[in-house]
Amino acid sequence: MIYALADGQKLLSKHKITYKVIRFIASGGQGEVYEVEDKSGRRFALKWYFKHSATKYQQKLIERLIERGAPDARFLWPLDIITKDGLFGYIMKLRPPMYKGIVDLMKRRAEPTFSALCMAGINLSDGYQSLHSQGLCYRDISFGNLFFDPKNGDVLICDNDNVTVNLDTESATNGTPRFIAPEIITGKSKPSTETDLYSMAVLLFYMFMLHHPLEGAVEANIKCFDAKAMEKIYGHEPIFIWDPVNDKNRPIPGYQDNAIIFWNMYPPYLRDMFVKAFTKGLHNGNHRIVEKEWKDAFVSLKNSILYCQKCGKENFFNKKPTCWSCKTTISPPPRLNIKGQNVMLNHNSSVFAHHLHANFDFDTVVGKMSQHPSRPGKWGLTNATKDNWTFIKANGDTAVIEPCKTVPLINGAKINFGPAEGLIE
Amino acid sequence: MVKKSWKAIGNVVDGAIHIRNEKPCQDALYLHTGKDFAIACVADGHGSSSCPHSDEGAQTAVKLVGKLLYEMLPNLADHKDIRLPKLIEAKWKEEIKKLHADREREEFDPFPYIQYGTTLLAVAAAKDFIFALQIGDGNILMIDKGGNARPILAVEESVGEDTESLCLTDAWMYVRTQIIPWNADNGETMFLLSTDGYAKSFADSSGFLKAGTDFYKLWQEEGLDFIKENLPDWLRKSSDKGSGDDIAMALITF
Repeated sequence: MIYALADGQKLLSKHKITYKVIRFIASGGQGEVYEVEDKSGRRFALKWYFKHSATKYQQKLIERLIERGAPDARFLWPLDIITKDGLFGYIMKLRPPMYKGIVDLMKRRAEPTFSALCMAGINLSDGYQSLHSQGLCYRDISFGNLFFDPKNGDVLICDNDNVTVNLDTESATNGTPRFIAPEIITGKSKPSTETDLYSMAVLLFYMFMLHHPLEGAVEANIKCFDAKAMEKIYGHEPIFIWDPVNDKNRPIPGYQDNAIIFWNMYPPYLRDMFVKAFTKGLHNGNHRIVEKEWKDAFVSLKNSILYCQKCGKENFFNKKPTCWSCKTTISPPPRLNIKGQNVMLNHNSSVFAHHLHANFDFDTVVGKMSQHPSRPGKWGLTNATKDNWTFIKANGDTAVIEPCKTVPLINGAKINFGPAEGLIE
Repeated sequence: MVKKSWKAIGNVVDGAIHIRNEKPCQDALYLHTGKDFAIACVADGHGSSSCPHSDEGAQTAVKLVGKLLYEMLPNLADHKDIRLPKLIEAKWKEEIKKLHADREREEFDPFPYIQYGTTLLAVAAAKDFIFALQIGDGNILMIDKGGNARPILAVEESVGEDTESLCLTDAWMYVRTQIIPWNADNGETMFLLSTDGYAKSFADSSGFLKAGTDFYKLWQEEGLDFIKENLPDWLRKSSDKGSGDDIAMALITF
């Protein structure tokens, strides 16, 4: 392959920093990505545009994005620009190796727990909300530019060089096929935050169902996979595979199994949201699910995780939980009913700041499940804060729970955490 | 000045061992060229006793994938990771089911795919990109205008003779793909695809890489028609003196 930049080549940036090319990493449709190093030895990524992509508009866009700065730390945002011989590229942080793509998820090279997947859903929705709240539009949400840490669901949003202000008409970027909103494919609309919401719903569907929401019987029966057929499925005649009133595009068993297995595993409220996103929301941007709704849904999903006592698999709480894997009837663990949320108190559960403040803070642990030191099998919730809690028994008796002390899980008792009170059930 | 375009040639030869054992050739080849593109597929049916119909599996694979690549050519970059590999697996298995239905009375098997097991390698060269795809063993080389041969989609050597195959459950997960951006300024470039019988006829990988460079030089000095004319003979000699295996090879040039 003929690389645009050579190993060891030195390049001076607009911010007067000299970067040395360390190695070629990858190439894509717009350009090549290299690992580079500054004088102090810090490593970065450099995206270097091919001649056909190195337009004046793209350069201006990058310069504006650098000036504006990243919406938050989850974005691998352009930090500096390098120009040379009429071409240019931009510097961004390197993606750490523990972050995996959705393709890794599909190919089972990354196997996150449902809990980590829920966190990835929350973080992804939160990231795009942060971008949209600044009046920006991503324009190209797809599984090629989202990466997540399978251990904890942290996300990184890459390829931010197409981000524009909402409703910008100058950019030529319309997105990635299969993620582009139908109204863009049919030429009725240009990318906007509304069309971003559609692409985001496709991405979330992929993450949770490991399948595309519009690929069912219609796709399976295509005889010629040309551009016309693609436009029909994703643009002119899209049908959600689980459309409740139109069953023409149901997934085919044996060919589209993920779509069937996972759909039936999730609770009705999550399925209803996807139904809304891909029925009413398919044709009308105003009916699309917004980021906050997705975040709330994934928090509920995360709260509802319980484990099968027989096979140990994660399941989701319902009135009569039966393990999706071994079909055993599961006895649910105690739950904490707090601010309208039902948090399963499993052996590894935590109560987070979010449960008290509804602020999506899942980094700050408030309470942690722990086992009685001398009575194995006896579990309680340990105060992980620096403040006292109040334990209120069903008969009204109270006790102060100091930091590091543990509350027994007694049905009908309450815990006053200060900002909120939770009922143990 | 004549406008340059993609061209493709190739050949399949029966291996010495297969001729001796009176087994049909297990390798298959498919070529398709047009105004701004060339597509080449080669496949190697496993040929073991548990894969009695793998010659048909290989033929089915090259035809089906050649057609799919042509249809999806403008969108290959967008479908390379999941959709295309899934389609290949699904469509190949669908075809195999139909094929097997004809002989099912004598050989009933609810999971007949292994009987047709095959590898597959493909390259689609278009105006502004090269797409490469592989499942199982075999080799794809890119030889640049300096004559430097580099493997594409290579993985570490697998142990023994086991190979990934289209007959596996979730075969799509083993399909490796790559897109290489391309423009005519890259100069005269050649891609070589061959089933494992060819690389195995060399003592080591450097010998095989050198063969890639030699093909490039021959193309530059003698032309593609010269190679096309002599390829059957050269492949026959490689098989006879080397692996004894069937060989399918395709060359794509620009």
